[in-house]
This record gives sequence, structure tokens and C-alpha cells, in this order.
Amino acid sequence: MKSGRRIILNVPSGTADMALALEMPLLVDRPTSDQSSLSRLIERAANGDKAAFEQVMMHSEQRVMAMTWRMLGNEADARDASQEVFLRVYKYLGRFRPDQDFFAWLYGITVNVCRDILKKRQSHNSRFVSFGEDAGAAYEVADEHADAEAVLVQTQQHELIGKAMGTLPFKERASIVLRDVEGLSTDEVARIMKSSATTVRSQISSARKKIRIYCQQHEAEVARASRP
Amino acid sequence: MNCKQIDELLPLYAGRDLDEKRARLVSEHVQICSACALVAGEYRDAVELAQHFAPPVFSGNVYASVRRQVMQQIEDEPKGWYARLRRASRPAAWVPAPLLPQMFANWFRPRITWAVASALVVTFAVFAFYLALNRSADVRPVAGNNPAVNLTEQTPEAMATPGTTQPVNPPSPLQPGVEKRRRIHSVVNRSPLLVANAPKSSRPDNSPEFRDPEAANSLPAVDAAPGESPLRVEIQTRNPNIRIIWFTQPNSKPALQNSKGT
Repeated sequence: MKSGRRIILNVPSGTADMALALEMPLLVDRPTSDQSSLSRLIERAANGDKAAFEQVMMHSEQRVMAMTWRMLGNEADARDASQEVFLRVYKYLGRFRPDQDFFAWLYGITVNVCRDILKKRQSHNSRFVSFGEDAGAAYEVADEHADAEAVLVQTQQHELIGKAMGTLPFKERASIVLRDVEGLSTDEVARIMKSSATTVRSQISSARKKIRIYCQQHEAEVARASRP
Repeated sequence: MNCKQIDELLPLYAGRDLDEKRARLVSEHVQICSACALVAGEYRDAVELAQHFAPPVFSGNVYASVRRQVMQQIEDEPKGWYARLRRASRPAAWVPAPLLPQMFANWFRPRITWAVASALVVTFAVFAFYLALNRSADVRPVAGNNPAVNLTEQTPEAMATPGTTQPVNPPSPLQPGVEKRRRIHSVVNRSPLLVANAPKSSRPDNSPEFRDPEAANSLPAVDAAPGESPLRVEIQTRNPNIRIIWFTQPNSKPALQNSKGT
């Protein structure tokens, strides 16, 4: 299946007015997302079929890459994390039970890998690349017919939410990403995070409060900057 | 509920994470309180913003590169009997198992580790048991409560054969304090037994008792009646180099009477 999408290139904040809207075809050749075929692929992969495992990877790589990017904030780390996630999936696929939701299981591994990478990063005291600093990153535009101003607004929103997410602690970020972005239920998030639903609700509540406060501060800064 | 209590619930209310009862309470409050309604709107915007937290569009090359590296690492994983054993020890993925066996299976994962650990424990136990058996075979019985005394009775045939002793008393339980003496005794008992009436050819020349030929000849000769076996008593002193060997006839008169008569 081939599809064309309109994408925009994200440029650093100071030169946001130079954002370009480009029309380019994205050649996406993905296997069908039929659940039963995925189950068969997983079964074959669990029995050591490497070709089937590659197909499973193709089924899930976009979700994994998006999740790791949301958790880690930059493409390089997201790639490393995705690679590690799939290696762990291959290693532990035998433990996956058919009554489980594969993607929930996959998200559990992804969260663990991202936590490990963040710990390593903190122990090595390396610079944290926060969200929105991936200069030149291209974001997908929801409305293909949006004008340049709307595109610009959307880009700024991406940056804003990215930076707001960057201020959250790991568990709150993981909870809010799984709940609000991936659309999982609170109970599913609790299972993935290996904690209780009450704890997850508390983390989500705290994260939303922080995001709201960050947005308020950002609006106040923008208002101050626009004053003569 | 007052505004402060509502304010705590608004983040969850905005994301529809409240139960029905509390959601209805908050909803009723928000309809009559404009300040809380404003805050609720801000939370709703925050949730909406978070829902649009999309990653950048990664090119197909990025995914292909990740896939290629993963497959490369999988190909590079060690091959051989150990890797095959590890793969074989993986549980079957699609066998529906009842809850209890599944629970046990989870306890004993990874299986290869448990198998190796069990094999080591069994090997160690067998080796320890073998050592314990051999050691108890070395220990000879000690006469009475005094571990320094060893009483042996020997038949002439046995006396003529070096290295054979027969315990008079049944084996007594060993006490921890006599461990060292018991070892010395064990060594003494295993050395060739020295008897006065044994042929000289059977006496080991390197035996401490026979280093001095005169001392060897000074050992009393025992005239045992035919068919009667002489009583032999060995006394091991605290000094391992000194051993007292006493021969007597079973029916002989007490030594004091003999001494008085002569």
C-alpha cells in the first residue's frame, strides 16, 4: 500500500517562520495489521522463524519508534532503544502468552528499555537532549489543506508539548504517553507499569497539572515578549 | 464538594479518568462555578495537546536500518550446543497451560539455570556422601572410654598376618574431642601389627618398634597352650611413638602370685 502524506520540516525556534511545507510521497509498504495474521507471525517467530520475526518487526516498528522517541526525546536514542526493544522481543518471545495483548506486552518492554537508557544516561552524566531540539525533524500535519499559519501553529504546539513532556519525571511521562497518546486504559497502563491503577491515576493527574502550568508559563512568556 | 476538592479532581475529569459518581459531581460543580469551569477548560486543552504529541516522521531508511541491525545481531548470536540448549529450554509459546503449572513454570525460569544448579547440587551431595563413607571406613573402634587405649585380641593366624586386628569391644560412638587421637590410632592400627611370636620375616624393618633389635628381642615370649589363643593388649600412649603391647594367656595366674612364688 502506498500513500502520500504532507509533512512539514521543523526548524529551530528562532527561525520558525522559515518552516517549509513540502508535499512528498511517503512510500509506505506495510503488512496488513490483521490480528490473526499477526498472531500466526508471532507463533512462527517464537518457534525460531527469523523471517516471521522480521515481519513482526515491520508490524510494530512504527509504534515502538514513536514510543521511544516520546520517552527519550531524540532520534538517536530512539533508534538505539528500538533496536534493544526488538532484541529483547526476540529473546523473550517464548514467554509471550497468546491470551496477552501483544502491543501491551511490547509497550512494557519499551518502557523498561527506555528506563534503562535514561538511567545509563544519568549515570554517565551526558547532556539530555530535550524534546523539540531535534532540528530539522519533520512532523506530520493532521490537515493536509491547512494553510501556512495553521501549520506554524501546529509546529509550535508540537514544540510546546515536547518541552512540557521533557520536564516530567519518567514514570509520569510514561503514564501520560500510554494513557493520552496511545489511548490505553488506566488499568492497561497500570499493568504495563507494574503498578496499581490508583498510582497511575495519581501520576497522570500530576503530569496534567504540570503540563497545564508549563503551558500557562509559556503563554505568559509569549505575551511578555509580544509587548512593545 | 468545594472548589478545592474539585480542583484536585479536574485533571482526571478532563481525561475522563474519574468514576461515574465523581464525574457527575464535578460536572455539576463546573456548571455552576465559572472559575472551576475555566480551569477544567485548561486541563482539557492540556490533554488535547498531549494527544497530539506526535513524533517526527521517520524515513523508511531509519526503520530499515533498525531492522537490519537487529537481524544482524540475531544472526551473530552464539551458535552451538549451549545456544541450542538455551533455545530448546524456552517454554513453548502457544501451549495453553493451566494456571498452577504456569505459575510453577514461572518460578523455575530460566530453566537452564535451574537445571545446571540442580545438577551441581546433586553432584556435590554425591561426592560429600562418598567422602563421608570412606572416612567412616578408616575409623577403627576405640576400646572403652579412653581413646588412647586399644584392646585387640588376635588369633595366632591373625597375629602372623601383619595388618589385621580384631576389636574386642564393640565400636563406641566417637566424641568430638578425641578426633585427633582417633586419627593417630587409625594410623597405628593400619601399620603392620608386631607380635613377638611372629616370624621375623614378617616384621617390617622400618617399623619404629623394631629399629632397635634388642628391644624387639626383649618382648616377652608367650607360650600359649595348644588350642588356646593368647590375649594381646595394646595400649597406645599419648605419644604416638610409644605403644605398650601386653601378651598374656587367658588362664594364667595373676602376675602378683607368680612374683610371690619365685
